[in-house]
Formats: sequence, C-alpha cells, structure tokens
Amino acid sequence: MRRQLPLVSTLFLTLFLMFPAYGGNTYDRALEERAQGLYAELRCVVCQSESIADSPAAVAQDMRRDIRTRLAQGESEDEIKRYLIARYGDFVLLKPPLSPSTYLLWFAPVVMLLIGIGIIIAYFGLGRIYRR
Amino acid sequence: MNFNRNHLRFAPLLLFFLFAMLIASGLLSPSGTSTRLSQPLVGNKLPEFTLPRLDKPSEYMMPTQWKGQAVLVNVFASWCEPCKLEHALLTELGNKTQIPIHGIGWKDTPANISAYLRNMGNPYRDVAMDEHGTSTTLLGISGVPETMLIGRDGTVLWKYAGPLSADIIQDDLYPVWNRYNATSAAAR
Repeated sequence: MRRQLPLVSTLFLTLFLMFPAYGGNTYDRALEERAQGLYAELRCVVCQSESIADSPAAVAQDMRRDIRTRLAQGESEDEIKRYLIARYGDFVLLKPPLSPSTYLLWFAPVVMLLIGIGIIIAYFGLGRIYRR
Repeated sequence: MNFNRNHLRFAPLLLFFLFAMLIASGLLSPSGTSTRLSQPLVGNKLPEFTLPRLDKPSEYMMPTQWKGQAVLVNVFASWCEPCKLEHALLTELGNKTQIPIHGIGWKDTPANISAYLRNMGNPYRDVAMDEHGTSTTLLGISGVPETMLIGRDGTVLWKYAGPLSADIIQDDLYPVWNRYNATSAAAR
C-alpha cells in the first residue's frame, strides 16, 4: 500500500488538474445556439448584404460579442433586436418587418405577377387560354 | 380613340415605365444619398458611456461632463484613411463654429492614436479610447469616421457615418446647427 502511494497520488493530482477541462468549461450550447440564431437574422451594416454571422467586419464582431453578452445577462432576443434597431434602424434586420412602410416592399412582387397574369388573360381572352 | 384588345400589348411596357419611375424616385431622393444608414438615434438622448481618456487612462470621458453645451463627437482611428481625409475639415469646423469636439479613438491603441494626433494635429477638446469597440453598438457606430452633433441637453441632433465633406457640412450639418441655435435662442 505504502509503495503505491506516490503513483496513486499522482493519478489523483492529474485528475484534479483536469477538472477545468470538463467541469469548469463555460461553453453553453444553448446560449451559443440562441446567439447564432440572432446572428443569422441581423444585417452587417458594413457589408450590407451579409448577416453578422458571416461578416468579417469589425462592427459585426462587436455586434456578435455584445449580443452574446446580453443573452448571457438574460436579455431576450426581442430586447436585443430592439436595442439594435434603436441605434441602426429597421435596416439591421435582414428580413424587414411587416409594417405599413414596407407593405409595398413585401407585396409588390406578388401584385406585379397578378397584374401580369391579368394582362395576359385580357389580351388572349380566357376562352383562348382554356382551349389551348 | 377606341381602346380595343390590341392596345393591351402596350400595357407591360407602360407598367415597366411606371415601375422604373418608382425606383428612380427612390434612388434619387435626397435622403437616400446623403447618409449611409438612417440614423434612428437622432432626436433621442445620446446613450451614456464611460471610456478611458487617452492622456489619463485612470480618468474617464462621459457625456454627463458636457451638459449645458452643444458638442461634436467624432469617432476615428489611425488606420482609417477617410478619417485623414476629413481631418482638416473637422479642424476648420471646430474653429469656425467654436463647438468643442470630443474624439473617440476606435479599435486602435493609445500609442497609435497619440502618434496620429501628433502628426495630423489635434482638433479635439479631449480624446477617449475605445480600444475594443465596447461602445460600438451602444452608440450605433457603423464604422469610422462617424460624427455626431449633440445638443446641450444630450439629444443627438445629427449623426453622420462617413467622412465629412464641404457639401455635407454645408447642406446637412449647418441647417441643423442653425435651426438648433434659433430654437434655443427663442426658448431663452
């Protein structure tokens, strides 16, 4: 028993020193997923067609960091979006919100398609389209 | 003139022109060209921040220190080429209007900022350091340079992302500044 003591204590010491690797690890998967989810919804205000998830820009880096910090502090996704919109405008959302000022943006393509179809029907006559 | 079915062939062309007109009016409207981003902070209080001063890092720059006086805030960096381009204009603006300019060195080191100011001249009343971009989202910074005009009660009167130009100062900033002075003089 006595002779095994150095070996056993070394093993225990090693185990103890390994604690930070699995016990103290602060990686929070749930937090990361929520953060990544937000990153994908927000526009990089510098390279404006990219989300901040993909953008290498300095401002995007700061935004990602601040989003992660705020999520960790308990802020909701909505609160964080409102914080950013208050400073950067609706434009910071990749999907513009549906509001009276953006109805035209959202519905114009569909409306134009319908008008186009309407013209075709009026020009050719429903009868001709059917018979074809 | 009787419109018959044959006239409908012109409808797509007409619609295209109407659509093109709509797009053109949006593209050419003044608000669409003068700023990079809409500036929703304008009209609201400048968010509180605390940044260490360049000359005395144990002391801090805070917007509460400016109450009672309209100020300009200019965010810049030594690695920022457009900042160098606007530097002379910024200096002239400060001299002409006598508005104090507070500088924020952004994503840069104190050594670089100090060297930059030594080489280019220092138009700032004081300079604070934001080495790691802690104030970026707080102040809605989208890049450097960025300049804000803050009223004496802390309201953001004007915010511009990009290098100042004579046109921007003349057409954008001065009207805001003059209107502010007129209304605050009337209020007294």
